[in-house]
Amino acid sequence: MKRPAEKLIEALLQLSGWLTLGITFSVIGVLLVNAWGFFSSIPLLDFLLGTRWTPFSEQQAFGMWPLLLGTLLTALLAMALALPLGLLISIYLSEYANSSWRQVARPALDLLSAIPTVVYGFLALVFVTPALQFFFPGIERFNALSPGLVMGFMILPIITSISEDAMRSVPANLREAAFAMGASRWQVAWRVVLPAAFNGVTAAVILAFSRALGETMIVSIAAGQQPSFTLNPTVAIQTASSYIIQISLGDVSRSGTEYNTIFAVGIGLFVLTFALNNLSYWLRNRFKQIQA
Amino acid sequence: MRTILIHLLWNMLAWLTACSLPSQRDKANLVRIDGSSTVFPITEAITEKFYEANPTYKVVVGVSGTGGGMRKLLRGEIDICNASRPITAEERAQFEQKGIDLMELPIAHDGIVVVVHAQNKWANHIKTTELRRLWQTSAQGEKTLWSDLRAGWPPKPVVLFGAGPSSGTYDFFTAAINGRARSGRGDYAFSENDNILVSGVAGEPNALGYVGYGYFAENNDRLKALAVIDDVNGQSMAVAPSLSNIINGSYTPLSRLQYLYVRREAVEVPAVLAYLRFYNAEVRQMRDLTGFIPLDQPAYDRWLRTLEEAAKGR
Amino acid sequence: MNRQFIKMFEAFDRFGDWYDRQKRDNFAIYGLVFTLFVVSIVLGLFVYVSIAGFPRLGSRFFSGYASRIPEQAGILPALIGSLWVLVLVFIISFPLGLAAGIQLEKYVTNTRWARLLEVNITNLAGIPSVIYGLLGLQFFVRGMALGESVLGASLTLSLMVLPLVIVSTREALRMVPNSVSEAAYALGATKWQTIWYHALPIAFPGVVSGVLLAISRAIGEAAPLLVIGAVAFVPFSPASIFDYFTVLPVQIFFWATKPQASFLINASAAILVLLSLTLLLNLLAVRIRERWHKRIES
Repeated sequence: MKRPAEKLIEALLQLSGWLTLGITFSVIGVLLVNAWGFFSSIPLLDFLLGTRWTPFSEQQAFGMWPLLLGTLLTALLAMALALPLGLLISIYLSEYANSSWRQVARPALDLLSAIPTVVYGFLALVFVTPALQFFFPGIERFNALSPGLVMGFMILPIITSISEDAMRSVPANLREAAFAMGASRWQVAWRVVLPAAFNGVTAAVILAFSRALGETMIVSIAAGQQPSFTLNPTVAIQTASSYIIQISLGDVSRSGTEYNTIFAVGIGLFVLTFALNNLSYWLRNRFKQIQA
Repeated sequence: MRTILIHLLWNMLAWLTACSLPSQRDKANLVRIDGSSTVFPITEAITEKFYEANPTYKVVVGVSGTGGGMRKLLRGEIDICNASRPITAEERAQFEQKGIDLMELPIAHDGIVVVVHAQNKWANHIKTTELRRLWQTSAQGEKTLWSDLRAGWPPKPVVLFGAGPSSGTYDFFTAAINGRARSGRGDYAFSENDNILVSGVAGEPNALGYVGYGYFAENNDRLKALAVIDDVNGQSMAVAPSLSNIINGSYTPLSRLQYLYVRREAVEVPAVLAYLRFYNAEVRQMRDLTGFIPLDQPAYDRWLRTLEEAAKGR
Repeated sequence: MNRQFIKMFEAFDRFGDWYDRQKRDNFAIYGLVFTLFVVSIVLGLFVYVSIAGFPRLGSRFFSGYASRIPEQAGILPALIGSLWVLVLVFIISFPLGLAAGIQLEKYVTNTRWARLLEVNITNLAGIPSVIYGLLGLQFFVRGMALGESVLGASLTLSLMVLPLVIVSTREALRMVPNSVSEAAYALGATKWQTIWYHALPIAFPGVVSGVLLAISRAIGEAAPLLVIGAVAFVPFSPASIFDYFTVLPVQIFFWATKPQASFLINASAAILVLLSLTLLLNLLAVRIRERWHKRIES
């Protein structure tokens, strides 16, 4: 028998459930409404195919490729570091390490992801870039390699934690069968566990990549502010998120095409990360189904 | 444990509301300033001293660029705009349209300094025709090499750093070099924040950029200034950006004045009036700010008079 | 033709065996080395920042305001601002996240609906922080005319960390043994009574742990606040939730972009303070969770 107070509470709970949906719709709505202003004055093809991004110069160009390439370049550099390292570490932790070592390593890795990204950006600028310039003198002060590497460390825990969980939940009988047939630990890990955990590991990789795409502070501090149509990691570039920050720090007029560029760029970023996140989620669910 | 937490929550909520109720953005004690990154160091220095003398007043200073600051001034979001260029005709019309009266208060000389990396061995001076070649609109898209500008300079691409589109320095530089304000190439590393430009040029051997004099003077151990030959206007002498050259006007075309633009009605706010009076008194005698180039005393007297008239008239 | 393919596969297989044999004995060492490498990077980071920033730490640093002279510039406004934000985010996200978590875990029975809401939350957790900044800018700062205030910033950050609170609430509720809820039902309790008086008290430390982690994430974020319009020079601590403010990560960002080497020392010192705060919250969260796990298992 529900008292009226309870009914009220349950209504409030329902409301909060709806709130989460509301947030998503608000995000999409805000981005769409303002990006609409942009896309109604700039032809879509210019945006999708253009190779120059100079919204503020006399010769305005609104091609998205420089920002897209910049975003992809740093994210790919991050993955180049995080993927092999992450896989190796998660294999080690799940198949080789004893539990006391795991108890030390796991929190240490989680700590990496708890560090605020401004700190990473600062270290990239102050420590990694000079070090890189020492070994490779041709690197510019603002470049893509330094933040890319640092981002790799930042997303490493995403790969290790999810992959390790996926690998450890591979049923023991699979492993034991392989051991019984004389396989070494490495063969079991590489040939049995990893393929079985494939969905989970791929989901982790995709999630990490999506995180790297959206990362802002590390690139804002260390990568420069120059949108260029290039995949060269030694020169300054600009990513979508750092462009948004740069314009927000100045003050472009509240309406007008130039202001709406941040929403056009924002919606592009959102669509990309949204698609990747959903793909990752779908893969993880399929993995769980295969497990069951 | 749970009851403790709930008590904590309620207490915090109560405390926050109690703190917030009386002062909803205490307007009478607030001075809101925004605008040029070039003027920012001057305003910052004076604001620090002002705050020490008057801790009950609150001053916030943003760095959105002269253009950004003027827009905020128009919208009424700020009281004072730091400007590194005079108000444009367009802006004047906008303010008139809204019926807003502005006071123009010049506060300092400034020169835009063309800077390169401290270890740059090949460049000591640059002609305005070369600068135009480098920064004009038609240069956009191609990487200009140093050797494109002058024979004998190395065939390496010039890494460009400059002011951003909201910056007064941008407006002024493009007008002086390219002939029309806001014209010129857009494919360079830009920022409204001169500090970022200084860092950029200081770390890149092939860089060339332009910053306000104050920023150069503050960082002259890691930057090198180029003397300017204003051959567009018929000059043939290389003029270095020094204090005296900027004051006597020989450093052309990149010498300019810095201003504060204030809404006349903002003087009704006690904090703003007190701040401006303090500003006038301080700026005349500021000696310890690197790169600050003061005007002559009569200029400061003039705007103190304007200020006091506005204060009386309210 | 077939024989060619078979020969190719056999060669490949033999290569694979040879490769595996190389890896077989050495991997334990490789794995250990790599893991140690990463762990030592974490330690090296702390050491570097500590050494760089240590000279600046002192009473002047903690009580000083922003200044153009690095030696005099302090973090008091930023620290107080961060504490304000911490408290506000706690107040906003805790009840909301708890309520939404309870709703999703206990009340939503329709599996299609449940799945949709779950996907939604996973999506929210993956949205880049700048996008939340854009949302906050249009919604709170402009739409609700809150301006660049503590409240506007806290609301934006709360939205950003809400998914974290919701997820940890759900996981905490899942850890509650079914026997407890069933016993309550058997005695005639309603659903809400079961949750509030029986399940939630048991799950509570797990929820709190999640909230602490969410807060530690919120105070480390600079990107959304820069989009909202964090102002460069705020030489005072906020006196109300509607006041201008600055927080540690934003201050670090502005100091990091100043070219004078002396400001980099300031940035390092501020990083030390921020890291200490973040670490404290994280450790607290982990401690609470571990003790809670032990109690549940018994």
